[in-house]
Amino acid sequence: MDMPLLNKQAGHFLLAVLIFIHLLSMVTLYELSTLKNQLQFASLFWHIKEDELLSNEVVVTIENKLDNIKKSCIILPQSSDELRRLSRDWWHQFGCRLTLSGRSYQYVIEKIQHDPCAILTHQDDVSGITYYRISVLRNDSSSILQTITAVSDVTETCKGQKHIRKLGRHSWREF
Amino acid sequence: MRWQYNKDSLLNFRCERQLKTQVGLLFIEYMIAIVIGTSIMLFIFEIYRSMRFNHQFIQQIYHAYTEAETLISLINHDIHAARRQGCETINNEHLVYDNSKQQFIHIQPPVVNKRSIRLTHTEAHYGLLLADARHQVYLEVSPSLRIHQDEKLLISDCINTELIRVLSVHQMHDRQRVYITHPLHFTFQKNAMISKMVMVELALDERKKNGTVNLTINGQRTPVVHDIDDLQFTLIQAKGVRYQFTVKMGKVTKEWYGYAIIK
Repeated sequence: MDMPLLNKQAGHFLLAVLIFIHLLSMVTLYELSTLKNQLQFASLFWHIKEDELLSNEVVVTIENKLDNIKKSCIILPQSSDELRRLSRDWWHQFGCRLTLSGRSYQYVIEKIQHDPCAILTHQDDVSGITYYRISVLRNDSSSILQTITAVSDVTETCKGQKHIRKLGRHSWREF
Repeated sequence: MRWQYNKDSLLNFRCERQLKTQVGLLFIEYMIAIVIGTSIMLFIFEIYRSMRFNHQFIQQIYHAYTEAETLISLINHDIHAARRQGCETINNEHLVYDNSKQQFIHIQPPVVNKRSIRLTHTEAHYGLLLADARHQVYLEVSPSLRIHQDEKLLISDCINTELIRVLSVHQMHDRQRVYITHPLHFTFQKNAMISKMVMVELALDERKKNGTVNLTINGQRTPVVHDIDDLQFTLIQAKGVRYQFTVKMGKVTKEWYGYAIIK
């Protein structure tokens, strides 16, 4: 005679427990999904920021070793839109690669001008500067980071008037 | 009640008694269950509410941070771009030849008002000169850069820089011939960079309460950042611009400071 009553009681409690478990599960799942979204967002933001910093570091590294740069990395001058239209495959095929912190970056260099009459100070006897445009393809945002850098290059004699110019980075842009 | 040992009657009595007891206990159980259930529900709701509050707070902090970051990068980018034009760093020592005025000029430094900053610089995009140009009134330019009448262009080959004004543009299939108002002062070799000059203004929109900052490029205004208050610029001895602003997003209020070198 006891069994039917016990069964009936157990049913009520089971139902209540199930409802609570269900509610708790829903709240937990919702919070877990929110947390997952937040973590994904933070991770994406972190990657973009890291990519920005690393690509800038890549540019600085290339600028510092422009004297010993491989000839195969130098391409014919291109406009910004032409560079932007090039596919990633093209960058992998014709660009050079530099790996930094486990990430590899593709870059190309354009020799834009040689100024044989550029001197660094008024007292300089030897003159000559070559301007290079360095373009680095960013990994995450597919935008291009570009700088123009002047390096000392005494290969031609100056036939005109000498003028003062600075070595190093002259311009920076991202498109 | 007169007691007699009767198996059936005893069983009935026990069942009846048990049933009565059971009814009473069930009611108490229900009451306790309701109280416990309500408490648990309230507890869960409170946890949920607290999580929502934390979530919103984190969102507000994140939003305030991204808005501030965007504004700082915009201001810094434009001020730095004003120094670096074409392929040269232009500063007070460096003069640029203005073709339409037929004289060497200083590129105008940023105009700093208390609530806004106005400056001129070249666009990031550039086209290339497709043939050497020597004291002539037209230029052969790559078609990718869309040039229009009356636009101001900067042509630079890193040795010389010249500001030119467009008279007319003739489009061809693989190039565009750009006629300019005056003959070129310098000689430019093939592949010299040609880019458009743009007038940029960053200012806090005083008419809106939510603190919108507008970016105006050549007269076209675009709201870029929201929830900014007290955006102030200060020019420091023509060497740099100091700026400060406050981001107000819900319960988050944060002051930000920045500095960008002009010279």
